[in-house]
Amino acid sequence: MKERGNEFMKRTSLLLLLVVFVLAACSTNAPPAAEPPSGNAPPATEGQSSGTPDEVKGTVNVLTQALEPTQMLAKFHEDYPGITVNWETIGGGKISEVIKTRLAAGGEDVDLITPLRPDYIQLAKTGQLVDLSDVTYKENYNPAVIESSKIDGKLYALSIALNYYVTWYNKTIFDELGLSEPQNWEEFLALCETLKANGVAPLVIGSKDQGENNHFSAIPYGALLSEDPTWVQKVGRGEAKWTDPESIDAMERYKLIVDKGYFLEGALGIGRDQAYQAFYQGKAAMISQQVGVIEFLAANTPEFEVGAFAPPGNDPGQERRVPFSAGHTMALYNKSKNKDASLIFLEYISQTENAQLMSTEINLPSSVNGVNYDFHPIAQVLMPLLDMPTSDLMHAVVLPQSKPALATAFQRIIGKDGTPLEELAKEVQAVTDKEIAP
Amino acid sequence: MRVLHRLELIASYLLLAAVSVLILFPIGIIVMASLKPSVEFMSNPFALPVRWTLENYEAAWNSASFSTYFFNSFSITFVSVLFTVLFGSMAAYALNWNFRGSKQLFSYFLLGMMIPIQAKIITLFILLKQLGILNTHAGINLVFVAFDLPLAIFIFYGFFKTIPTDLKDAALLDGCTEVGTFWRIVFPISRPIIATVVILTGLHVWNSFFLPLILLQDRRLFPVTLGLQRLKGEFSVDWPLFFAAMVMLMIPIILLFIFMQKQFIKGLTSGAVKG
Amino acid sequence: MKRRRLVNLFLFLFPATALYTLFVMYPSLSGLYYALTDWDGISPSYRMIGMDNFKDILQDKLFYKALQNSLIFSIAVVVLKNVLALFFAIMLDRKLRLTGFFRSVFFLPAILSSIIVAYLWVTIFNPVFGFWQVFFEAIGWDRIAQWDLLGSTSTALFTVVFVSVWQTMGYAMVIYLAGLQTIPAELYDAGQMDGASKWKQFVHITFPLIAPAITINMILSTINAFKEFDLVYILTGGGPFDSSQVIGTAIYKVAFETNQFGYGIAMSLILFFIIAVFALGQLWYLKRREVDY
Repeated sequence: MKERGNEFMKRTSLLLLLVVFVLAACSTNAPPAAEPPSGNAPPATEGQSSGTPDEVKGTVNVLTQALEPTQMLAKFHEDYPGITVNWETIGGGKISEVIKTRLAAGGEDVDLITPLRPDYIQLAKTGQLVDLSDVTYKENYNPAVIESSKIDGKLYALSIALNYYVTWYNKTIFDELGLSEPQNWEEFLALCETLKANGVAPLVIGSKDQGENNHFSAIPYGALLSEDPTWVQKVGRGEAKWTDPESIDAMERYKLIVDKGYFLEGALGIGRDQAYQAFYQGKAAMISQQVGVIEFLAANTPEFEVGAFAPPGNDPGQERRVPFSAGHTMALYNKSKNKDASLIFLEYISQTENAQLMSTEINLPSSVNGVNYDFHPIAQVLMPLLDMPTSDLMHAVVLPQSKPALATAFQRIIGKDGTPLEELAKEVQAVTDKEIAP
Repeated sequence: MRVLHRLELIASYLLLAAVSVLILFPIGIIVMASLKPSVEFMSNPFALPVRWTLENYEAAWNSASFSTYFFNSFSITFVSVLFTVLFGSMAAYALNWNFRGSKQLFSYFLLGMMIPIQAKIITLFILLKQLGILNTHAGINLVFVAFDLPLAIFIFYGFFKTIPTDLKDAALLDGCTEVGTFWRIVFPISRPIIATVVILTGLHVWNSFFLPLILLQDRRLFPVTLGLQRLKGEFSVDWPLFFAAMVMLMIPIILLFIFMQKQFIKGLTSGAVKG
Repeated sequence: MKRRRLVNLFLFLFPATALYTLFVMYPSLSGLYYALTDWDGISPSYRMIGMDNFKDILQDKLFYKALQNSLIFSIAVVVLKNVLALFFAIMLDRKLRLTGFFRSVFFLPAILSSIIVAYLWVTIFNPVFGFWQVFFEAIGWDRIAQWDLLGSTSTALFTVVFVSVWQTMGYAMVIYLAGLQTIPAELYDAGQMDGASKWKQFVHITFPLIAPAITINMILSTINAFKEFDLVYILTGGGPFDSSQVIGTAIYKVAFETNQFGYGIAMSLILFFIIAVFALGQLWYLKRREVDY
């Protein structure tokens, strides 16, 4: 009996092994992701690409966190049958790791990438990206986007999505209480007070996600950034400090919002998703977030009417600015073997018509001039904000190591941990000092 | 005495039931949420669905060519678990012979578990590229086997020790070779342990996200976990859809567990350990 | 005969040793080399800076905070998880009705990926509309309903401990169960004949005989607890104000978010030594105990 059992074991095991080898053989036959670069492609010239549709052949590998614009790619392939675009979307917030590992291994099959800002700066500074300063189609872009994508005066990437920061609000609540959009810091405070007096929590913030704390600074730092839109970059160059009186004043304003109880209770225990969910449920009247959240709004449209205004942090009489950054900056890797094809693709997506198609598909506002945000009715409320003057989005431009330090400082203000603001500013400045030390 | 026994039994059941509730309830929330439209989840995440729907399952299945991903997951899990069990048990068996250096070799195997993945991911990627097995199932299978070997060896090693030596000696005296003894005596009576290792390593491979993310690029080779990330938007997640996919992902593992549990019982009743 | 033994040794050990050395140890060792550099992870070049990273770590307040949290977290998780897992394994080793069902249920959370588990509990503990709040308000315990378990510095870390134990208790239980299966029933019969109490049976029969399972579980849970990343990252993000920052999240932060790859690897190396001390120390202690019996 026992013997037969063993015999059975043996046979099945052998069978399993056989299956394994068959499976393994099958899987190794699968073709690799990218085709070998075509050897006959002419060497790339810096800047302009000149090729008619049938001349250039090749593969363009796009490595990005943006969703795949299937229709736009299909159209591209019709227009340029010789070029295959291999669009790889990396989710789970892991784009940085994926780009780093691929480059560390030699960067084969890497053509177009959308690195996160700290990576972008480093790649540009170490000469790993193609200089795009002279491409003519950069004129198609929002000039502020081009300006903010420049590193040491040179342009290395074109942003495929605008990322700016607005305050979304529950228009239905506003209308019920007869409230209108605030134009400056004082009106904003008055607005919050009225909301609170009427039993409505004015604001919700998902403070658990580090970035949200930095993003929200757009309102308390509004007056400072209105005066000096690139102040944060100056801090990064050592020309200004977190401990400057203007900065401490801005932190005071952050603290004021907290002390007056304008944030919905429990801010430290929720993240971005839950904050939005609370807004959706009508638990708070306003939420300040990046426009990328439109994806969320589009997927889960609330029953109330949604409006948006530029963060009202400016003092009366000051100009109000929309904090923004160039999102998804698409850069061309210097060692790319498909530079010509990649430049053709870059030029292609810089045309209003194609950018429009892509914007609608990937649900992100485009940086290309003349693109209408028609992917969702709510997106329309953003249109008027596009023509406003801009300032730097703090979370995007703050130096990488200072970023978490700053977020923690703001989080401590929200958590009322009692540390004097000067102390907090000093701690952040210490990190920045260390970071910019030669 | 009998009453006492009864009471103890009732108390046991009550406790087990209470813990089961603590475990099942949160999982129930996931299942429940997967059965309602996204809008309902947004407004009231915990209530019973007002409109019961399977649309999330349909959408999850259709939107991301799930059948391909499932096949890939099965294939990767099956192959890597099989070789992990085979090579792991062999090594653990030999480590129990107490030759010179066996203790050091055992510790050497343990060390691999302690190194954080961040420290090796870039160099691993470069290695696979040099070997030409980047972006292949063969490559990822080899990596999974290597990564799970320490766990398998560790578990097997501990349990092989408990096999009475006279059992092995008898087999050897009967003219069995070491290979024969291992194959005919040790392997069959270790079924509960094998089942354990299969479940634990299978679980690890089936749920893994980071390794395939880095090591695979071709969408046709993706396992389900990588397919899942395509359901997430860049700034938002459609949670009910995601939950539905998650439930689908759980089912094969639950089946495997139930199937393997039978092995536990068999191992017990075969009584081979008693020798 | 001796030669044959050598052939056998080679045959049994070669596949595992070769694969493991090539795909685990080689990348690890060559990766650890970056600890001696100032590589940011993305530049094409880097400088050798010797022990500078380690010197910096020793002055890094965040590192000490993370180290302290990792120690508290690991000890709490290892102890709680193992006590509960062993308790329930013994309970479910008996021939009760529904044992199969209970075993499956207890193992269920281990099947879920950490990402889902973390999100699930975020939703439950969420202080704005979480189930915690809904439930305790419904039964009238308003004070408890207001607890912000994930958002308060005094509870965040322990809430992660709870979720971790919730998730992995069944995993450890399965290993204990496998250990219990190998204990011959006759031993207990004999014990019962001698009139030994349940507790005595546990101390004198069960405990010594499941020593291998204890060793395995203690060491596995120690290693995994020290490396914990996903749960902390999603449940608390290391906050509030770094109060739940552990070494796993700190390494990720510096290696990939703030572009100090070499520094992050240096931290990994220190973490590796800490784990090795704890794990090998336990191994040495537990193995000695195994031999004693």
